[in-house]
Amino acid sequence: MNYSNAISNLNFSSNIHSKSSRSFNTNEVKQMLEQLIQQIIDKQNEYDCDKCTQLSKDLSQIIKDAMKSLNYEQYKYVIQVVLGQCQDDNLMMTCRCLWDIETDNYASYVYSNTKIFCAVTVFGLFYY
Amino acid sequence: MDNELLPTNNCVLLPHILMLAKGSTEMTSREEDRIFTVDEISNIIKEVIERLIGNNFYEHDKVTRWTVDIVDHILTELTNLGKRFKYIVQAVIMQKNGTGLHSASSCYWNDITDGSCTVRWENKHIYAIVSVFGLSI
Repeated sequence: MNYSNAISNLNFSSNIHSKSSRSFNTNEVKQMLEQLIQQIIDKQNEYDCDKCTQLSKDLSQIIKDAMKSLNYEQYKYVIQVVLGQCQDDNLMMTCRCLWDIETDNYASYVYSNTKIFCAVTVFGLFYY
Repeated sequence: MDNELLPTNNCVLLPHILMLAKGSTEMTSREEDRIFTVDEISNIIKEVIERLIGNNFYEHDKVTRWTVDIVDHILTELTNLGKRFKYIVQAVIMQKNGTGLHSASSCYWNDITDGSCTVRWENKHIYAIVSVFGLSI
């Protein structure tokens, strides 16, 4: 249960938590990621080593710009893109964060077609 | 700077100089507290991966445990550094089978104080890519 809204309405929250800016909404970011990534990855016909190097960098920049357009005030972003070839291999990805649980959050999305898989994670951290 | 012993008639100045010297080191450690040091963190990451994976084969049952342990241990050691940072630690473990993998990241932050460190580690059977992002408060 999230009590942070109730707590912020009681007037003793400290100055560093300015609750006027809206907090990171995982669903909104995830929907944005779904639309962007499917369009971009489906344009690739097959896995090509050099093209995919550039594609992963381009994708992270595109997503960073899309995050800026979502207009979250006072948020810093970290976007991680992992792109690979779809063979029979297994891959395990884990993350742990030390942050403020009331304000910070992340959104992740994994997309794959027959040739390429793509796992994207976007972290949003509040800057006091 | 002169390192010789000061003669007795200058002893009164000594405590004042010592205090000034102490003041300047306090300032630098506070500054260091707010800047992301890549080398220190890179060493922490390498040491943790070496300790937890070492020369092991890729074992599907153990991989979940490994990634979680690597990430937890690194985060604990980062917390022990006591700096004013929020951290994100991410680990990717992959079997060595000739498949291609690309990883990229892009960040919207304060370039002076914030930073990241990515270590690519391998043994004969496994690839591990660990990224640590540190954002100052």
